[in-house]
Order: sequence, then C-alpha cells, then structure tokens
Amino acid sequence: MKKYWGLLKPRLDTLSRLTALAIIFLSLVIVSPSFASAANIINVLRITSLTLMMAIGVALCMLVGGIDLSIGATIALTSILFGKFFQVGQSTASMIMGITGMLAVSILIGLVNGFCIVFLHLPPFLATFGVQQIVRGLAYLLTSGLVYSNFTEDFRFIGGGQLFGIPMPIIIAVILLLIISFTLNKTTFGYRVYAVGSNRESARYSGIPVNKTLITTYVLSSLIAGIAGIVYTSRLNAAEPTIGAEFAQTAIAAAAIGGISFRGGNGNVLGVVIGALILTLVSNGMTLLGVDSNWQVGISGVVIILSVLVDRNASVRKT
Amino acid sequence: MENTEKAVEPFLKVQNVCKEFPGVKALDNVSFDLCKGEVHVLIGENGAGKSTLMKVLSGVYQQDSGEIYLNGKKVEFQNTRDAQLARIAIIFQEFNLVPNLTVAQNIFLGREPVSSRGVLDRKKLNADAQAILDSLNTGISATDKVELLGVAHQQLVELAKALSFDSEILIMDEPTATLSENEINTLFDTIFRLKARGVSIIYISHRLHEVYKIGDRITVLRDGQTVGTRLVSEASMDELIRLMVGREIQRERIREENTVQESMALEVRGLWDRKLLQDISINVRRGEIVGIAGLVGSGRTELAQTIFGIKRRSKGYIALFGRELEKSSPGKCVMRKAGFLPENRKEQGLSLNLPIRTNIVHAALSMLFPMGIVRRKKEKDIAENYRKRLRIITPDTKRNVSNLSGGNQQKVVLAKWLATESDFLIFDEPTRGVDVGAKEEIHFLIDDLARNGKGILVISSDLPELLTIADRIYVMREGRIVKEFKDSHVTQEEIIAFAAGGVVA
Repeated sequence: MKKYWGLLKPRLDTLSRLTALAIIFLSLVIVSPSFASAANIINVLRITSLTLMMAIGVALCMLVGGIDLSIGATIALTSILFGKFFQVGQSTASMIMGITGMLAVSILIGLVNGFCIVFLHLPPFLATFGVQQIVRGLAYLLTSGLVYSNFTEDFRFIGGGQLFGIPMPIIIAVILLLIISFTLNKTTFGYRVYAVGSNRESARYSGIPVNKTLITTYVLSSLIAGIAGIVYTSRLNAAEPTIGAEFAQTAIAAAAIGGISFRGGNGNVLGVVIGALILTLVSNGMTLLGVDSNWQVGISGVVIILSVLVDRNASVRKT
Repeated sequence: MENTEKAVEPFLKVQNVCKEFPGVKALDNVSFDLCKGEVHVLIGENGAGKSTLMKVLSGVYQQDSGEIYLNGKKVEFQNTRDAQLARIAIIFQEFNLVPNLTVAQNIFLGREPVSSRGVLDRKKLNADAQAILDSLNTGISATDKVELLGVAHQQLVELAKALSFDSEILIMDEPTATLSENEINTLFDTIFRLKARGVSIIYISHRLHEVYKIGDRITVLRDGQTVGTRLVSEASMDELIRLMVGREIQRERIREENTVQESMALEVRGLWDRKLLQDISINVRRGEIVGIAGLVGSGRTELAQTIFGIKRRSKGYIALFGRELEKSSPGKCVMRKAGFLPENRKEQGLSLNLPIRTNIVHAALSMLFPMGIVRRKKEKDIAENYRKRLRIITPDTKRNVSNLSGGNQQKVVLAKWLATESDFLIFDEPTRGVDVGAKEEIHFLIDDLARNGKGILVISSDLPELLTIADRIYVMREGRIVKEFKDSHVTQEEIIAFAAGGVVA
C-alpha cells in the first residue's frame, strides 16, 4: 500500500474536490426539487461555461506564479470595440471584422501585461491591476456613455444559439478546455509553464525561455478573455463599458477552489472545471433555496476561504 | 601583541564546548580565550566550525556541553538577547539592517529614545547615533537612509549598532569579504581604534595575509576542533596552512588515466564582470576534467554563472567547442551542448513538486520534442533509461522529485543534463550534502563522462574531491585565477596556500 501512496497522493486532491462537488450536487437534488430539472441543469452549465472560460485563462497565469486581474476590463473593451465595428456596416462582414478586432486587441492587452511583468519587473497583481484600470478607462472613453445593442442574428447565435440542443457557450467552453488541457499536458509549452511556475530559477538554469513563456501565458489569458467577451457580448446582445467588473474575482475564485496554487506550478484543468462548477452550484442552489441575495455574496466568500484552507492543509501534509 | 596582557586572566574563556547537529559534530571540545583589547583571529577551512562557534558565543545556538566564562564568571546564553546583555555583539556577513530606515533608526531599532510624553524623541535619536558614528570617524550622517550607503558604510553602521549596546566583545564574520582595498584599510583603522578603547574582537577570516595586519593571536579550527593557538608574531604562514589542512587524507584516485583530447570544449579569455571577476582565462578540453578550487566568496560560482549566461559579463571572450559565444544565455548554452549543474539543487536545479521524469526532460524539451508535442512514452523511456543507468533509487519516475534523497536528487539533475547530450558540463559542488556512497558513484560517473569525450569543469570546496578526479586544477582567489596546477600531483597545502593568499601570485 505504502508503495502506491506516492502515486496516489497527487490525485487525492482532485478526488477530494470531486467528492465535495458530488456532495453539493446531491444535497441540492435532495433539498430542491426544481434543481434537478433539465432546464436548470442546462442553465447551471451555461453559467459555468462563462466562468470556466475566464477561469482557465487566469489559471494559466496562476500556474506560472502570476495572476490576471485585467480580464473583466478586457471583456468590456473588446465588447465595445465590437459594437463600434458593428455599427459601421451592420453586416456579416462588419461582424467578422469586429470579432477579429476583439481578438487582436485582447492579444495586445496580454502583451502589455506580459511586458509590464517581464521587462518592468512589476508584480503581476499590480501590473494587471493597473492595466485593468487603463483598459476600463479606454472602454469608457470610446463609448462616451453609449450602449451598443441589437446585433445581427448570426452574431447572437454564438452566445445564445444551440447546436444539437446544447447551448453554444457550453460547446465553446468545452472546446477551449480541451485545447488548453492538451496544451498544458502534451506540449513543450505546457511543460515550460509548469517548470516556470514550479521553480523559475531552475527553469532558467535549464535553458527554458522564462520570459517568453511568461508573456505567452499572459497573452493566452487575454485571448481567452477576448473569446469569452465574444460569447458574453453575443449572449447579452449589448456592449457597454461597465460589464465584467466582477469577472476577475469569479475566475480567481473558481481557480482557487479548483486547487490552482497561488504560488504556481500546481494544479490542473480538471480542478478548474470542478472549481467553476462548485462556485456556480453554490450560488444557483442558494437562489433556488430562496436565500436572500444579500447573503449569497458573503456565503460564496466563505466557500472560497474554506476550500483554500482545506487545500493548504492537504499540501502541508504532503511535504 | 603586548605580552603583559597575556598574563592577565582572559576576559572571555570557552572551555571544551561541543555542539552536535544530526550527522555532524560541528564543535568537538573547542577551547578558546580572548583578552581585553585583543584581536583574536579565527581561521579554518569551509566547514571547520567557525560559524558554529560564533553562533554559540552570540546565543544563536546553545552548546551541548562545555562552559563559557565571561570575566571569570560562568555564563549561559539562552538566546541572542542574553549575549547582547553580556555585551557581546556579532556582525554577520549578511547585514541585519532595514534598508529603508535611516542610519539612526537602524542603530536604535526597537530601543528608540522616547520623550516624557511617550513620543519618539527624534532629536535625541539622531544625536546619540551621530555621537557613536563620529567616535568611529565614519563620516556617515545619522539621518541618511541605509539603502543609499555602500557596503563598507553599511558595515560601519552595523559596527555602530554593536557599540550602541556598549559591547565589549565584537565578533566579526569575514568582514572584508565584500570590501575593496581602500575600504579594508578604513575598516582596519576602525578596528585599531576600538582596540585602543579596550574592545576585544574575534575576527573570522579566510584571508591569511590579513591576519598579520591586525591579529594579536590566531586560533586554527579544523573539523570542529581547535588545532592550535599561536601569537601572530610567532606564527609562520606555512605553519598556519599546515594546521588548517591537517594530515593529508590519502584518498584513492578514481581517475586512472587522463583522457584529454586535442579539441577545446570551453575557452575563456580575459573575462570580467562588474563586481568580482577579474581577467579570467581558463580552458577545458574534451575528455578532460578540470577543477576549480577556492574559498567561499572567491568567485568560483560567479565564474560558472557568467560562462553560462546567468550573470552578465562586462567583457571577455567565451567560446564553446571553438565557436565564440558572443552573448551567453542558458538557452544558447544548452543549444551548444553545454550544461550546468548548479550548487543549490533545490533552488536552482529542480522543480521539486514535479515528477522525476518531467524534471529529466526539462532541459532537453526542444531537442527531444522538436514539434512541440510531448510524447509521454518517450519521456518515460528516457527517464527509465537514466533511472537504471544512474541508479536513481525510486519505485516510480512519476513520483515527485521532493520524495528523493539528496544524492538521488543530484542524480536527477545529472540525468537532466545527460538527456541534452551535452558535451561540456559544469558541476558546481557536485557532492555537497550527498552521502558517501552516492558521492563515489557521482565521481565514477564524472570520470566516465570524460572518458566518453566530454569536457568537465568541477567546482568544489572539497579539496580531496578535486584531487581524486581532476586532471588539472585552477585556484581562484578574490575573483582572479591565481594559480594553475597542470597535473594532479599537488597537495592540499599547496592549493590552500594559493586559495587563502599565503603565496603571492
């Protein structure tokens, strides 16, 4: 038995997280009759899918020992840009232009984040916090208070449509998830991400291009935020500069509950999925149970702290 | 030097002090004394027990047995505060200053003068601090921020802080290690001034020539034992070196033949960095094992780091396998088939929370998987291959490196560099913290690598280690190469003489 313990231990974290998820799920099934309805489950999954998209990006940054607070603002700015582009022609062509513009700008924001962290040596928290303010400011400047809405049918399909009865956001999130999971587990880039996050000095001594890896990670996080922005704007059928204020928080919470360590190098994509699900289930469950919405915010805070505590105790025992 | 003082009962007396750490006897029956107004120099190789003795005297550690007498009275220090109250102060190599506070705030940290109304008395604070600084002739202003001062001045602030406790005994650990020639002279002046005031000083040093400038008596420590105390005026350099090294431990030489080839692996000419390294020229041929000896702080590690592009050079020529390396970086070196096994495995060599097999492919990622897609099977096979070849003891290479013992961790670092098929390897302290068995295995491996035509550069504080495996040895001191021994017929004494500065280069 002892022989297998060393192999089992790393998997135990995921296992205990899955158990927590199952317990929450089952208790909701028991307490709330409306929870297990197909409509509600689909609803939960759809909400989870957006959280998940953003959490995956932030988790990448956390894996290299950083963080990305700018994703909410990135979503706001790119969504405004889409509105601007769309207004020009109100056609499929302007939609494609808009989408391309969104992705390009999100990549640019990621580059700025990476630049501030790698070349200006700013702590990731501060760098992305500052960039967040700048980006949000730009979003306000660009709209001067306007709200863009009434996009074309084909654009609204991205966030509101269904394929084989499955909402598009879920499909997009799953595809994204598979790509990132493959990237982390099966590519040299993924190996570098873990190496840099686990021990930056050792990565450097091994000839791993640390700076390039860091910048790429922040670009990926922003790009994913851009994609989430497309889905969100489409679903909302509107673009305004105030959206996404709490997105970074939610994403970080999901990643933290999912066992992505703030110190880097620890955690996996499956954990983030579980984390996003737990987060959504808790708030969905509270709504179904009629918990006052004023209480809900605070209770999710308790969930986050508890899960991180449990996680830390587990990792203390490990060493 | 006054012989009259010697007759007086010593001010501080250490008798038969022992201190054991798991696995090592750091202090073994150490006896030592210090007179009023004396500068007593303590020398010994790395790991001889100097630091442990100092930490016992300053209350950081408690001795397992033995007594300490101060002014004829037995004392016991439970913590550093006790030692402070007994007026013993220590100045470590690493300063204990808060950089963003002023000099005065640092000197009286935690003991700031308070006015009758309970408010900080800034005027008195600055005046008191300035008085101490002036008494040392430092020229430092009490209101300067510490971070704006150079190393030498920071050291003087540490001195002032020590004196603010009215310390009667001052312990200085390698005080000149980071100072320039001029700064050293200033420090020595200060020491003479303190001596004249009756302060007794224990001065720890590696540098033999300094001993003659400031010491009254000298005590040599070796392997945790005091091997002799001499009047500086009566001790010859040769004798001191003999005492430091002790009997030659004849170790079996592992390398049977020198397998050196014609072609160059590494060539360095006129290498400088901004801080320490001065005009370094060395070379290593394929199939050759070259050692670098030197005391801690002599710049050995910095040299390796500069070659490998971890630290920047300010000028100089570096070539790998005959091709110049204009700007070195670890990535470039890896591509040019050079590897570096750093001194601190845990900090610089391994990702402890990642699997053994992943660590093994880290340096070779782009070589093994040029398409960017990792093949798990290949990763596993490579890891299994090195597990068998290097005899890494673990039930499964999927386990995290943190589960391994020191020797096995070192083998993982070695496997990482063998996986890149490097033809030139730098080993920085390859066997530090490794048990005897694993040590020998690593020596045989290094020999084997050289036999297979790889060029090897070994940095080691363990002289017998260098004598067992090196074909040629460079000695470094204060950032320079001071001697090259062209073959392995050399004794530890000869090496120490150059490393500690007993011989003018």
